[in-house]
Amino acid sequence: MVKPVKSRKASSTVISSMILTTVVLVVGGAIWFFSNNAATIIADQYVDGIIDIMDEISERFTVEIVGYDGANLTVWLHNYGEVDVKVDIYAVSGLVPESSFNNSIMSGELFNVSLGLGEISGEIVAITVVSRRGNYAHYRYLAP
Amino acid sequence: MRTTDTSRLRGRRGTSTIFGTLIFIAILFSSVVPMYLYMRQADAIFEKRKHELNRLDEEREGENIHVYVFNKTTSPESLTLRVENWGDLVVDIERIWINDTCYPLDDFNVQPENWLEEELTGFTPVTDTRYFIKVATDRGNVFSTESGSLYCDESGNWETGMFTIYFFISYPASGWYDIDITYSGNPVPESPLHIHKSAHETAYNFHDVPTEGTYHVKITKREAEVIYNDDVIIPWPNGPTSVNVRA
Repeated sequence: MVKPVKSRKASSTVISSMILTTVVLVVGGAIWFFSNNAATIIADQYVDGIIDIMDEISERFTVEIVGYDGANLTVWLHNYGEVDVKVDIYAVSGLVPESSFNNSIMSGELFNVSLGLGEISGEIVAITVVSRRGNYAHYRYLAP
Repeated sequence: MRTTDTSRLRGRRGTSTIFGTLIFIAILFSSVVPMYLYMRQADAIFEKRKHELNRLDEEREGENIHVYVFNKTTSPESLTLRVENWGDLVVDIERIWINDTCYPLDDFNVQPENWLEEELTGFTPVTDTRYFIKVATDRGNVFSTESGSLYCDESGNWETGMFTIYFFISYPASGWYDIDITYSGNPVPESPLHIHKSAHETAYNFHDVPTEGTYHVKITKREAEVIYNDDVIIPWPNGPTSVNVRA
């Protein structure tokens, strides 16, 4: 009576061990696959974020000169950085605002935009240039 | 009597544990560690970029040029741009602005402690007009002329209102120096000028004078000898509106 019991016990132990090992391998493999993908995605997102921040801190632009011809205000912008920028330009004289959006300036380019502010002779114009990455340049101009 | 073969059971249980451990180590070394190293590399590149940008910003801050525009000839249309580089870096002038008009300059690189001149061609002045002249560098700086604006009067003559004498004292002795400036024998307003010099640095100062012409400058080490005693000429309108005195 003892021997068959021992034999059955041994079979179930082997089978359970095989099942346990198989489960460990399958679940472990799945976790491995998942963590590989997750690590790749996380690392890529992190590096993309770093590249975005690098572009943001690399932006360098300035209002080089401003001119006024009696009707239009011309703003000259110089992108002296190493990355291209996209900027919005706001000019305010008194209560009269004027703006120009989505201006792309290549690296090293001198770019100009005209803003129709009308008659502003003798008035101070506050000019703000905002890049899409969040950098600013300010300029104050006394219209002749 | 029933017996249990514990050593065998332990051995079989250990198989899955070993596999689990191996998988854990595999995940650690094939996913987590490379991800960590990748991120660290990105951080290192970012830090390097930040240092580069700081250096470029410092270089931009360090640009120190003096700009003069004058006409060497009697023709009002003949203007000369002179850029003196007082800084430690080569300065590349990209363009000159005369009021709102841009004139590009090619290969106008001014070496440190040096100067360059360029004839401004293609510019026709309008009489009875004031001109603001600026130069722009490739590092994004804009410098105005030292003399402020230039005025082309009704006769076509150029006028400016700012004249300056710059002083650089590199004489070894430290202490106070007195600078007497006279014009036609009379002291100019706010003369004498006093400059304090340390032992190891060149002292610098400037003095605005009322007009162009010949000035007599005498620099005396206080309670000691005279180290400079000579005439200096502000050659406007045939030259810059300022002159440097080095003693």
